[in-house]
Amino acid sequence: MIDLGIPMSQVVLAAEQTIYMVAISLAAGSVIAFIFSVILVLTRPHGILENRCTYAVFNTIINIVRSIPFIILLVFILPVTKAIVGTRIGTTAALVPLIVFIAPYLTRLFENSILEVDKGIVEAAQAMGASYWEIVRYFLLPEAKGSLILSVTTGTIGLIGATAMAGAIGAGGVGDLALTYGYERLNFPLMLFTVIVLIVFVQAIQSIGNHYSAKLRNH
Amino acid sequence: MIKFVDISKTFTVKKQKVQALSHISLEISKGDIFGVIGFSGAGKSTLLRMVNALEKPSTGQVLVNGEDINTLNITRLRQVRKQIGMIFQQFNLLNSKTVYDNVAIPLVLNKMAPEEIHKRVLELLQFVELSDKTAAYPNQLSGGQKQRVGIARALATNPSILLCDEATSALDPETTEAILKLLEKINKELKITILVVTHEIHVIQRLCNKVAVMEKGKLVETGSVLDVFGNPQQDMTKRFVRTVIPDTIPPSIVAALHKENKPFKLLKIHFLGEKAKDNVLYHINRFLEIETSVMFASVTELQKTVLGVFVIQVVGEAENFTKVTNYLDEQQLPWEEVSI
Repeated sequence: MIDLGIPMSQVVLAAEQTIYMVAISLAAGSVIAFIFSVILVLTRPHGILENRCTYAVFNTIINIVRSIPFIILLVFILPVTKAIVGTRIGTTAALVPLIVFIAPYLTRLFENSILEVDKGIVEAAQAMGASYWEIVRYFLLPEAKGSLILSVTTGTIGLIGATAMAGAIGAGGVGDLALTYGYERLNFPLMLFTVIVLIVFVQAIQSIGNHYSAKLRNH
Repeated sequence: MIKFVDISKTFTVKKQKVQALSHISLEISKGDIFGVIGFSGAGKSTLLRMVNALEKPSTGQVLVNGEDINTLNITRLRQVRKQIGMIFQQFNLLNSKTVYDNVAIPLVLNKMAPEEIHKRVLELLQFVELSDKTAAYPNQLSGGQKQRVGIARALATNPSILLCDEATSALDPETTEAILKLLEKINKELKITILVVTHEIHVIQRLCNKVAVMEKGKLVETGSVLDVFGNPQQDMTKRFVRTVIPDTIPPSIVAALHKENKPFKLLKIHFLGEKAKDNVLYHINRFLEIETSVMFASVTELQKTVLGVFVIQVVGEAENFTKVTNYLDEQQLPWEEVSI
């Protein structure tokens, strides 16, 4: 075993923190993104529930949030974080900015995935007398599933990147480990180790995503 | 069953108004296989999609079983839509679901019990002869098989009307024939009224009992297929009919006729059904004592009725020609003079 200059337990803790942050913000972000993207798709111009006002509101909110770089968003919404979690620092506190960051990103990805579904499918659904919810549930989602999985994969990888910055508010995680111990203490082996771990993580996630997406699409 | 009352539709494309349909009135009776034919852009698909309110007319009414489809609330509209099956040129099947699940969807939407769904889906797949493809995905099927799945799905809820939007236009001739046979069976055995929209005249010839011809959003001609094909009135109709029932003299014969020096006129005669059995040409030669020769002839069967088109040369002066046409009028045979 190579010497990383820190106890192994610290590495494990950092990994746990990263997984914790990614898993929870991904789950919450996906739920929000799912709702938002469905609203956007249905209310968009020429959509089946066309509503300019609703569409404009959601579209603008997403654009605004997406224009703020994550490191700024992290500190900018600290008062909101404090109000929700009760503290400004720590791993749990980082969940708020992470969700605010990833939800609009996933919304755009999900929106594109759902829009890829052939308009003819929606037409067939309407001709069958399906309600708006049934169109989403029985037609759009099953048809977009393969693409949605890839969107979640892309979102997950984006989130792992964002968690590295969450160290700025004391959230810990693998990225923070590399910065504080690897960079500031000039511990190159640790830096290299974290980079390799991150590469393996990202590769694994992408491969799993591709596998399931391809499985669904190859029907 | 379906009644279009003075339908007009304008679209606004890039701030320009486009008249897609103007003043269309049409009635489709129960049991009909009604064909609407026109080139692309004629507005025929827009008209078809008004039956289940996928499109709304700008003015005019669409009555389906006596109900004005555009005044219904959304719940009632959905109920009515379940009584109207629809199939598409691009099939519009869910690629993520098996043949079985595709056919089951309308039943799931109807909240039918799973055992009943199972029974009904197998029954439908047997009807469209796809029992062996239950577990296949649409991408594993040929075009004809996909359309059969589309048909099974459309029939799932026992509709009284079936809308076919260019349903055979993406298929090869042989597959088209098989699908047309299936549609015929649906009309006969299940007593479903079928409204077909197509740009292929042979679909109308082969399948329909009534036809409407559309051009640039207007209804050009309508009536029974026999009447319209047997004696087309409008240029557009003639152009369509000519492609399946040729009625023009071949160029080499035209060239030869130009060299003739004796006086003659050309006459096109339409024979329909029983009339085609009368020995008209014999009568003209024998009793009117006028020399004729056949320049061109074609015989087609429509709706189990024989339709013949003859172009004959009547030799002699105008007086002879009048004798012949008088005789044809007596026999109630439609004719027209042809100029070359």
